[in-house]
Amino acid sequence: MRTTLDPVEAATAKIPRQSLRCIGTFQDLHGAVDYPIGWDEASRDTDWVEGFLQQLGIAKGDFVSVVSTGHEAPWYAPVLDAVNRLQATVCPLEPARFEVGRALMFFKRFPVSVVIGLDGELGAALEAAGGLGTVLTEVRSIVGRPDGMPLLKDLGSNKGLIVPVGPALALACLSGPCVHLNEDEWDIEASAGGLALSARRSRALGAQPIRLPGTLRVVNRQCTCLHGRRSFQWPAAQAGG
Amino acid sequence: MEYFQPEIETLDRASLDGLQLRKVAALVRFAYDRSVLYRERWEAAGVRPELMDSLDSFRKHTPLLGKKELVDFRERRGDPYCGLLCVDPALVNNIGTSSGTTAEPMPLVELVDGAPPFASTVRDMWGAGLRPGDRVLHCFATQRGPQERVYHRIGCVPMMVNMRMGADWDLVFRMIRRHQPTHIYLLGFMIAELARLSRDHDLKAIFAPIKVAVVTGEPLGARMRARMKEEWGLQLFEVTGTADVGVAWDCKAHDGFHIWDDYVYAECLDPVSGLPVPEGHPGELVCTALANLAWPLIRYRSGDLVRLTRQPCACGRTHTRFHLLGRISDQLSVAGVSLLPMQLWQIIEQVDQTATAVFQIVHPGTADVSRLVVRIGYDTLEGTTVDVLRATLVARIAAQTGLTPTIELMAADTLLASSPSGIKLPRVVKS
Repeated sequence: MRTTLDPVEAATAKIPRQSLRCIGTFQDLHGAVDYPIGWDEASRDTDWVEGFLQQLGIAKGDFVSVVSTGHEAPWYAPVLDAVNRLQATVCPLEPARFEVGRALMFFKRFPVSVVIGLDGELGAALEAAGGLGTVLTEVRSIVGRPDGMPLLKDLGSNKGLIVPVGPALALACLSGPCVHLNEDEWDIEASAGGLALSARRSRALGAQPIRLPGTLRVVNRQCTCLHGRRSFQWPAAQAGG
Repeated sequence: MEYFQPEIETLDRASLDGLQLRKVAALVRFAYDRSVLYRERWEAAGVRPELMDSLDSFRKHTPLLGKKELVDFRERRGDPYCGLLCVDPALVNNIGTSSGTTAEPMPLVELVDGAPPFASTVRDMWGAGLRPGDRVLHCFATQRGPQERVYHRIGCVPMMVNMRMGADWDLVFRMIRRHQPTHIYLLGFMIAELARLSRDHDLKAIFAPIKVAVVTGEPLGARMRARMKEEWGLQLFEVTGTADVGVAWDCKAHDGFHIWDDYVYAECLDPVSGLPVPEGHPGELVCTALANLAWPLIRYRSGDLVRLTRQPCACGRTHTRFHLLGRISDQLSVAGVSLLPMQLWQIIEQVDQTATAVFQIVHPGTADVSRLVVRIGYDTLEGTTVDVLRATLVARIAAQTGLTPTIELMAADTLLASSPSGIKLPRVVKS
């Protein structure tokens, strides 16, 4: 059954899609770098995130709150797309204090079971508004940002981390205190003063090595979750232990 | 003027009326069969789908719907969708919300079947001059879902760069120079920031590639509009909401906001009696969403005071237009004088130090207010002092409204940071 009657749909369908999905930016060791993203790699990124979300148990009919803002699309558009692919409903929030009213509405009115991208600012506002443990009582899994993790340590929910690593996305491992990158897509090595990241597959960004601040420690061992040949440790101090 | 869908955008009035009647009749039947709220309310009012044989019948028989009715139903029945959902909940893939500037945000169910919110704006974008291959600079908010999908549909490439409060504008300007976007989407507080940056940056040179600049979130004052056109070289378009069912752009003729009649059936009613006002007279904008069957808003009150016309626009389009006068809830009676924030806006923006018109009327919460209290943010104190600026503003407001205000002055940044939605500043706040 069609549930939207969109009068421009047929006309827009004739317009050819551009090669780029969007242009974002990320920070390398020297400052902001342009980040063009093509449709093919965006689709591959979504495939990879979808696997993680399936491990979180997200399925048709679930309500998933994704905390992100527009310019974070290089990392969060695959999350939003993956949630929809799994036929779950997105309750979108922005990582900001002023979102507390919308967040309280979602958590009060809808059975939100997973939160992805909770940040310190919105987390602190929710804590002040009613206590995170109370507000998120029905939430079974929270994938937080590094600055949000300290607020989550006393919660009973499953907890994990989401963090951009330059142009790549690192996501929680459910088997231990580490995160993973999509190693089919990215090569990453520790290098003097930081990390060296480069694309393994064709991406609009190109394959040139990218020097990043060394906030991630590479652990060269196979993780039991089988998501990566290697895992990556986010410094405990930043992740809130 | 180039149209995206000329056969629809310039359709004659009688054909548009016929199209709307067919859509309204189908919508009422659909909602009657599936929506718990509508079935309950309409049966109580004696409304049946077969009564909808004309738009007059629709207006005559169908009760108005407001936020209060939705909230009441939600509280009474514990239904987060307020009784409006007409599809299997598992089909809903995004729940946007209203901004929540004045009350608990309302859920807005959208994106079912993958149609992005604000799909109709493709026509507005095309009319303004956007074309496939253009790059667009848009500080996307996610409150209504991923809005960049609309740009994808018209073949544009969104540039996802932070332009929020505290953003790195040097980076934004570098991105403009490198990627030559033809479109920028600006919220009110971004304009305030740009006004400050214009002291040290040649915005006209920076914005040279921009052919479509959209301002949204709040109305634009006449002085700032002139400044953005003349000093920054921007061709401006304004965008506003239509009762949470979508958005409306103005066009190159700049003679009101365009509603697309195949997406929205719009009415202008006396906010007290609920009866139609004569064309062109002030009234409340009431909208029926014709394109979203998942969560249909039918005769939904916007709370916006508008003048509405169905006369063709100078741009050649024939669909309904409206001029926005303000929020009905912002209309105040101060010492017997009726006042809308827009009246103060036009006065405050004339003073150099407060040209971005960052202000709020502070309301004690009673029906009739005896004293006008205005909180005003200054962009700069260059060439003046707080006391002199306050005296200037008091004198100008008193001269033009007859009311001598009490003025609380603070830095504009401080006042903007108090925005509960992060998008717009409530213009009337409780003390």
